[in-house]
Amino acid sequence: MKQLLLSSAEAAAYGAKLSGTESTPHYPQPFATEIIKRLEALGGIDAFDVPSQSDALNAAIGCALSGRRTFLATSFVDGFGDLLRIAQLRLPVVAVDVSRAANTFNPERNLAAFLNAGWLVFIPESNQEIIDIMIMCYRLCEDSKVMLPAAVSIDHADFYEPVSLPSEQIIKNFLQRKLKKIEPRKPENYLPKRQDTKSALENAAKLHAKINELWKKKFRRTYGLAEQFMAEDAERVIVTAGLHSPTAKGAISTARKNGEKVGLLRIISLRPFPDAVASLAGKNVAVVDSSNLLYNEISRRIKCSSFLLHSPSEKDFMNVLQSMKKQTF
Amino acid sequence: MISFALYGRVGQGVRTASRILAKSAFYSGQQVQCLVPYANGVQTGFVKIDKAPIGSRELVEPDFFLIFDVKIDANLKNAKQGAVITANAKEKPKIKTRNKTKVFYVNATDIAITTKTMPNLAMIGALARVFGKLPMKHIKTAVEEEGLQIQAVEEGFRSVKR
Repeated sequence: MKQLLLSSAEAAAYGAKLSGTESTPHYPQPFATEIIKRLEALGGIDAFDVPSQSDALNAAIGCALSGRRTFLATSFVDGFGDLLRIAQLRLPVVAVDVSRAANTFNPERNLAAFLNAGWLVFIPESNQEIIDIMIMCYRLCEDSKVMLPAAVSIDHADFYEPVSLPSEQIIKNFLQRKLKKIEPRKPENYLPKRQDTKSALENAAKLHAKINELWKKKFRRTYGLAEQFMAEDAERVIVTAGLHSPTAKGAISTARKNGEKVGLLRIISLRPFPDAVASLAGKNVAVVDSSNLLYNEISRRIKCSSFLLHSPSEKDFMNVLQSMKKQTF
Repeated sequence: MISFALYGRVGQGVRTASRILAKSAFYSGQQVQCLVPYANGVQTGFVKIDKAPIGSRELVEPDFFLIFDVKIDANLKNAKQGAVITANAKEKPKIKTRNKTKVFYVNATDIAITTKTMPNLAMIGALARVFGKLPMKHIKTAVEEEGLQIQAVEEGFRSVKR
């Protein structure tokens, strides 16, 4: 397996290239354009510019309806209705969203839009995970029992890390082609599909576990819906997601060495929502995030407190663990 | 773990310099992490090098500073003990620090003008000399991947002074 030093944007481009993406409608935006530039440099992909974000989403609908594997790169969402339409038509589009968590004060705004429109939402922590999750997303979304769009969130476009690339042939075998052209003149072909969205979401969770097993056999890397890090016997648990979770893991390891019973739950997927969150009920739980998106999702299920941190350091996470001691549940 | 911080004006090539630094360390068999925040005005770049894989995304106190413009406020006053500062200047810059630091300087702007490149390549050359653990052949590979010439790097390597 080849090792390369890739930025998050390059990793997303490799993810799209390895998945055999055929169409990428694109509206030029900061960060998202970097992904498309890299993708075009890798070659063999039909990326075309359109005059607005809404057009890009509508073009994606057209591409997906005609049975082409479609990829979208966004860094802001300017057409909620179009996002909704992609989910309503149940088209297996995969979008990479640069959430700009490290740059702006309103980071996961787009992610909230994707989530509310009914897309599957994944939050990888490293560049390796971006590639792997993107490929797994295509397999998951294109399954006839699921047929839903998915969004993969990137916190930072210019974050460089070593990544090992799987070979194109292995991925080609992994992603069998199941897409069919939908005849748009016969609405009955796709309209009834909307009714069984609920069962599709349940199927997505089950299928994700299966795909994960397959991936583990092939590459010895595993991504569940959530990752538990020393959380089984912990009294105080931090819940976090995205780029900064390895920093939290470092803080947890240090606290464990000092004899504190602490743990971490890293959310990888917001939809399908991980069952692991329910197992935290009764524990002292704090959600650490740069916006309240994660807190809103988790506080619906269990009682928890919220800490908002912007580019947190290990010391910040230690402070969170200390202040959790004072809270009583 | 060794950490580098790069400070420059937008357009001086800080992004490219961070990438070249990270790639050349990666090619020499090290584990690397590099973060280039989106900027307007002052561009920064942070590179971490270690033998073991680096998990934490924390920005640690830098061991090596690369200052592309001396007028930029890079919080050098609080630089840690033994930090090495390489600045782009014609004469030795007067940098006030609380702890003891080493200051090197190289006239990267003039090298950039004569070789028709950006100051980043001369600065990378100066850093290679000061740091001493980045083999020139790996820097050459990284520079050529960016579509640039190695001459300015070699010139910077030669003309760095203390």
